[in-house]
Parts: sequence; structure tokens; C-alpha cells
Amino acid sequence: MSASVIENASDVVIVGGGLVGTSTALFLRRRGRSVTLLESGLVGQQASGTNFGNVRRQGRPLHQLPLANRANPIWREMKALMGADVEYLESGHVRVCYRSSPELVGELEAYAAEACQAGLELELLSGDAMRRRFPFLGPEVSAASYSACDGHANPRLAAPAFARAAVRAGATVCENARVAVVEKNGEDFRAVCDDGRAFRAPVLLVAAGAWGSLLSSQFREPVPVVVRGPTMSVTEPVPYGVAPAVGVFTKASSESVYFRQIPRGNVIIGGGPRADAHLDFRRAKVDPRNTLHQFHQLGRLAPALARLNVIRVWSGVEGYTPDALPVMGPSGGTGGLYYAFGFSGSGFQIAPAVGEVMAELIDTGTTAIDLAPYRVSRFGAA
Amino acid sequence: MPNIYLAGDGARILGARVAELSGRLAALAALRDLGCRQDDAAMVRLRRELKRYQNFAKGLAAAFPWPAHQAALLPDDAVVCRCEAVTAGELRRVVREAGACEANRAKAFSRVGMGRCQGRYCGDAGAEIIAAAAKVPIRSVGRLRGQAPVKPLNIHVPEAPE
Repeated sequence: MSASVIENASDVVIVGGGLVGTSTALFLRRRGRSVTLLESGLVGQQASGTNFGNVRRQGRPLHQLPLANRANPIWREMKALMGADVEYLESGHVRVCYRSSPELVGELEAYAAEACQAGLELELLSGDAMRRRFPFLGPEVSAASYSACDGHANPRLAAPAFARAAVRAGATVCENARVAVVEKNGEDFRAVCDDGRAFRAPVLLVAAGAWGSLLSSQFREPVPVVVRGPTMSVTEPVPYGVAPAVGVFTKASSESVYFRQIPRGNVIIGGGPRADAHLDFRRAKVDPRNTLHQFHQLGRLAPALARLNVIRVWSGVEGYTPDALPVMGPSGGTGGLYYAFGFSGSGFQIAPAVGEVMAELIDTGTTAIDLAPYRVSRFGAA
Repeated sequence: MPNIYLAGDGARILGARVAELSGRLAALAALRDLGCRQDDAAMVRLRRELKRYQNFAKGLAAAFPWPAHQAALLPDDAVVCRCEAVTAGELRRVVREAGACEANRAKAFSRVGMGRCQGRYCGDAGAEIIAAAAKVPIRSVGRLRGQAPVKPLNIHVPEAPE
């Protein structure tokens, strides 16, 4: 018996079981492609499952809005698509700036005008109108940009729901399958796990998040990914009072903070400095100094929330590229090889559209979405 | 192991009274080993008393065993996690439908053990329900990861650290 007979063969092998990998698997199955997805731990356990859960278009680079807009109907139809509730709530998103940075008001206005051209309606508020609408904002807040059709969802549920839907549609999802070596032999790629299992396909998609560069490097396309863990906290439940997700627009990363309340009452908080994270242990630390810093910043954004108690903190392994944009599209040097990783802490909202676009690209060779900003070659490899 | 003495619940959980007795015994043993004069009869009395409590603990454990089998029999509408109002039925659902056969996976999907007490009250019962529903040994269900803060922490801090 030759080795190729016993190896698991499919049309596409996906390495990485986050939102991007699992949604690509589902959309490839809908196009009739056979798919094997390999996940080193459990699906949706890292950045996809531990992020803030912002389903937010506003604030993204303008060139990314067509992709973000494409994700919006998928989020809306998630229940029908997945047969599972991922707690998506289209309750709006508020982006505010502080009096100490008056120049940012003009930037909010300019962004709103251009976003409108790209199909994203934003409403600008300040003064009494803003205070009446969002009475929880602190006195330092000077202006707000409101996006009615953004919202938030439960990240712990989203990727596993996509994985289950992909399995129901006929995909093979292997958890605890840690890919050590990827190589191209003739027409086929071979992904070999550290337990010896081997998987073969003419198309390989690297959707391994912070681990992506470990695989792209094996095709001489390293990406300078910085591995960090976000600072996340959640409060005890209190009566539901804040519908939109709320975040600060600032050039000072230390001022960054955002929160959202879920209908059961808990307030989820993110933002601020990130801590050490480790690819080898698959763990990210929560640095208590970052948590205290986050508390302080939250007190500026929404002072009343400082009266609450935090019951839990967490983090997860995220991969950041130098320009904070993902690597997404075909390899620059190897036919049949595709990348979708390095989403730099802002992949949650777009991920279902990334899955749809990657499936389209793999299936048809082209997509209407402009992938030029995401080319792997921008890092000067190959 | 010479010159090392064990006392209290850190050695074996037998309650406050035994912790005190075992502390006295450890102190007397240390004094004796250091060559100090002490009351041998007192040590004998302490040992006898400890034995009595150990027998009582054994009887207690036999009379009230950890009701592992009862977890499997709980009705679906029984609330397991009081903080997050997660029922036995919901826990069984995430095992059945989402394949959550491990404690932290079931927590991620159902919120069991995610509330104010962080699973201190429901962790063990939840693990038994998961084990029974998934038909796996309790050992493989594991236990909930500890996450800071151990007790709810007020957000208001006077100064942001540099």
C-alpha cells in the first residue's frame, strides 16, 4: 500500500479552526468542495473565542468596508445559517472622542462622510443631543459617531457554531490536530500533524491566526506577526441599560477602552495595553496592571460603570501585523496556497465574509473584494 | 523526612478541631526532636483523640457519600449554576449538541460556573452532570480553570498605575 492511499485526501485542507477557517469550510462545502479542517486545539478557542465580540464596521479602514458590509447580512442570518444562536444583537455601535483631542471631531466627521459613500450610515452627535441619547457617557466625551446597524455577538459561540454547521454540510473537522509540517509534493499539499497523521489536498488555506507565519514561513513567505493577548474583563450582571457597544476613538493606544452590555446584564470590557502571549503553550496572560489601567479608562468613558464589580478577566492568543491588516489572498509564490491570518485584533466582524470570499476565491479563482491591501508580498518575502 | 511536620487541613482535611490537635502534636514532636523535655503522655493522648476523629470522618464519609449517581438523575429543570441560572438540561444540551465533554468547554458554551462564584458552588456537580451526559469518566471532564479575580473586584480604583 502506498502512503498516498492511507493519507486523508480532500479538495481543500484548512489549517486553523477559528472563525475564518470554520466559515471558509462551511462556504466551501456550499460550493461542493470537500474540506478537511485541522485545528491544533478546539475550534474557536483562541482569538476567535476570547475577543470582545464587536460586530463593528465603523472605524475600520474605508477600503475594508465592502468586506465588512458583506459580513453584515451573514451576521443577520446567522441563526438560520447555523441552526444556533450566537447571541448576535444589532443594537448599534458608538465611537466617541474626548475634549482633550479636539482635532478628532473633524476626523469623525470626515470618516462619516466617506463611510456613507461606502454604504455605512453614521450619525454624528454632540452636546445635549449626545447626552440625551447616551446619558452614560462621561464629561470628558465631546462627540459621538453612531452606527445603527452594527452590534455585538458572543465570540465563545460563533466559531464552534460555524464548525458544527460545516460538519453538518459534510466537512471533516479534526480537533487536537497540531500541524507541524506543510509542504507541496507535486500537485498536492501535505499537512503532517505532530502525532503523524497526514492530510493531502491540491489546495491549502492557512487560517492559523497568530500561528499563521509558522506555516507561511515553510513556503518562504514569513509575516512579521507580533503575538499578544488582549485585556478582557466582565462585570456582574446589572439591569440592562446600554444597548450599543461603545468605544473610544483616540490616537493614544493607552486611552483605548470599549464596553458592551448583554441583555442578561453583564458588562464586557476590552481595550488598552495587551500582555504576553505564547504560541508554544497556546496561552495568553492577563497582566493585572493592564486590568487596573483599563478600569481607570472605563471610568473616563462611562463613570457610572466604575461602581460595578468585575467577576472575571481573560485573554487569548492574537497575532498582529505591522500595519494591523490581515494577510488574505493567494500566496505570492506557490500555486494552490492561500492565506487568511493575522487579523490583528479586529477580525471578528469581518470573519464570516472572509470565509465567504476565501471560498469564492478558491472555488472560482476570483472575488469582487479587492484583496490588494492584504497581499502577503507587502512584507517583502518570496 | 526528618524535621518536617504536618498539621492542619493541608495534611488531611478533617476539620478545625483536628487541625488544632494535629498542630499541638506537631509542636510536641518538634520539641522532642529538638531535645526539649516534653510530656510523652500528652502525645499519646493526642494520638488517641486524633484516631477517634479519623474514625468519625470515615463513618461520615460512608454515611454521606458524594452523590455522583444523583447528578445523573437530576431533572432537566434543576438549576445547577445559581449565579448564571444554568439548568441541568442546558448543560446536557451543550454536551449533546455541541460536544462539550470538558468542564471549561461546557462553561464556554453554557455559562456554567461563569458567574459571581466562578464555579465554587456548582463546579463539582456540573462536572458530574457532564460526565454522566457524555458517558466519560469524571477525571476526563477536568475542572474549571481559575480566573482572576477570585472574588468580585470593584472597578473603581483611586489611581491608575504607571
